[in-house]
Amino acid sequence: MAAAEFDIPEIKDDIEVPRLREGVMAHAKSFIAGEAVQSFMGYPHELGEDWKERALDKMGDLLGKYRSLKVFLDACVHCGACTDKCHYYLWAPRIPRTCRGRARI
Amino acid sequence: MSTVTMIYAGMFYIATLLLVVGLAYKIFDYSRTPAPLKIPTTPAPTTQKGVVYRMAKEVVLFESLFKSNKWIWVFGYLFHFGLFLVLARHLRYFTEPVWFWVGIVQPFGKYASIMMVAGLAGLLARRFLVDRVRYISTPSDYLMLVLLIAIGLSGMLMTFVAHTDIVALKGFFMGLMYLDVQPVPQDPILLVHLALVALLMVIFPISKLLHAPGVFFSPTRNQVDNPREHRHVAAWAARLDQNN
Repeated sequence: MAAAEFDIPEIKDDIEVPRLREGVMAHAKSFIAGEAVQSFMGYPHELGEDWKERALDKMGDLLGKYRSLKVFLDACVHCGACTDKCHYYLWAPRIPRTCRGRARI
Repeated sequence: MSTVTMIYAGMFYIATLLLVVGLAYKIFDYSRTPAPLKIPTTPAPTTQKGVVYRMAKEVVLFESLFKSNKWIWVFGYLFHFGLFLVLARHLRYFTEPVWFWVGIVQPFGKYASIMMVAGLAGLLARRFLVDRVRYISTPSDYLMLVLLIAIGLSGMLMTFVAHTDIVALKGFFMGLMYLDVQPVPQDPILLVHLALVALLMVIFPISKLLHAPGVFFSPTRNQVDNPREHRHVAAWAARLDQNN
């Protein structure tokens, strides 16, 4: 099997913050587990109709259990100080897949 | 009593009520939510005293922001320290006789407004000039900065350019505090300034301005790094433990 080709940034002494490149990960797809694995784990194979309600319910559940999540979601001032040292961002400079982007959802 | 006075008196009573009740609810909500994980960011203090010292540095000096990003720190600190002095100066409109130290802080508070607006302008400029910060900015981020700049500028106009009837204004606020409403001076700049402040008070408990109380409830800052000495278990996690 041929090794996959990766575009690995060179590591230097000073961090060079890349400019934002939207859609840099547009080609990436999720790695879906095989049928057998999903059945074994009791996963539903496909996104259900009620995914939104279930996600919101889970979010509410987590907000009641973790003070960290609740406080940080409320208190984040969107200053952007986290973005330039985020390893996800440095690797592929787009926001939606950084922690910051995930929190925004 | 004029209509404007009635509107402004009602506005400030409602805004104060919403601010106090909203903040009290938020603080109650934070304190009752369990923090199941021991997650102080290292290097973390291992004693309660150390935590107080660390939190004090965080609140007074914005230590972690300084380590993280110098530009945001410079502008953020200019704004917050300016705001602190300006607010301290404003205490003179709510106290009779004016406290000794509030008298001393008057000239500093006056010129701190320049610092405050300069800091805000810097923070706003970042949101336009830094591409990744522009990307993550939401309308509310701009609204908050514009609102604070408008409050600062309208206040500066009254301090440095067109004075308002400050004695009557103090009468109005003292009247509000003692439930004996006095007429508000009907000066357009002042009315704009007051309306924007009331708006800020209302949105405080439902916006990112919650970072003010929030910093005290951040588990990454307020926890003691002693998981080996004392096992840390939240109630809901303890119940899971028992069921296993």
